[in-house]
Amino acid sequence: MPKDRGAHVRPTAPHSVAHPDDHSLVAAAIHGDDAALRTLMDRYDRLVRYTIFRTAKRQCVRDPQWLDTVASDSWTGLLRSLRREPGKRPTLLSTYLTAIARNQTLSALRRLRPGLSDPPRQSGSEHMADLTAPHPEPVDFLSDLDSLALLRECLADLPEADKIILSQLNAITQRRWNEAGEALGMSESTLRSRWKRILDRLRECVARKSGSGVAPEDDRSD
Amino acid sequence: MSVTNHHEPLDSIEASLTELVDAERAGVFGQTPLPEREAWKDEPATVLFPLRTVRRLAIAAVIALAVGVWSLMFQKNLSSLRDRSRMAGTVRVADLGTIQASIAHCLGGPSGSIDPTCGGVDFDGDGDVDLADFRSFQVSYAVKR
Repeated sequence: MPKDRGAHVRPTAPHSVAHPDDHSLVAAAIHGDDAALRTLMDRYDRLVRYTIFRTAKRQCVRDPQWLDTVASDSWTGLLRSLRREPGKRPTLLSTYLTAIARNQTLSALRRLRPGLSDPPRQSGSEHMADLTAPHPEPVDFLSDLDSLALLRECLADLPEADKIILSQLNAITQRRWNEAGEALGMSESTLRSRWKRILDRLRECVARKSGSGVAPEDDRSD
Repeated sequence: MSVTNHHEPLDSIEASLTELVDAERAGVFGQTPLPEREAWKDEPATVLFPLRTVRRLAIAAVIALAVGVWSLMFQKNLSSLRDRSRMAGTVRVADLGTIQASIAHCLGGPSGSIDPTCGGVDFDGDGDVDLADFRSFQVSYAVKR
């Protein structure tokens, strides 16, 4: 995965009416300008949602409504915090928002399970795994999120026949080739070779869209 | 983003695909609605008095009120004691403890200044609380049956 991109959610720098900077938007938003707030959310909402997802992945997959609630609480928290201390402005809004989203997620998880802040007693606890996971920097989140967004675009470009094979992603990634092949009505060897072709196609597409010449996975030394 | 299973490790694209499927399922690529304005505009833009200061002021006010009330009651109590002892020349056993505590509290010596709340134990009325007052108190002390 390339780690040097962030074009999808990274703010635009120029100070102009067409692309106002974050500070102007924040100032307008806390004075009730919904359009400014919407612009801020267009820039950073995906980062907020992805931060929540990365912090509590299993809970988010189990209950997508929960992610919506925590995301909304994160934005509310940002506005409250900025309004409470109008003289202080975060240097980097992305960093500030990531911290707020993560804190809101941890608080929401603790509300679900009150004893969650205790040290993990066993490694099998999924919530603990979420909480004790390493805390990446916002730039890592942005980079990963961009990579996912690119992959998403590339998936949309795949032929329908390949998309049908992707419906068996769970079985394939668990290497249950026989089961996936039966579900798709093809032999295991055919499925394996077609799967390899799909991966190559996706890898090439992501490399092309990201502008970096990523070598095919099989050519790498690892 | 490397995920491995028991036999064949996942390559980076497979790991990303798995992550993407989870992200789609969780709604990461959805859009959060604008927060309700009431949810974040309920607080004043600037806080003139932090909660801690307000709490301290409230505690100080309660203490000041209690001291004021106690002071008034104490003075009234001593005045009534003095009047009673002057009129009847006697002091009841029930008043004894209060008067002793008051003299101990107010005792300032022959030329000492008198606390405004100590007028009740200036038995001889000379503007101070000294041993002469204590003697006056002893003279007027009697057990009322």
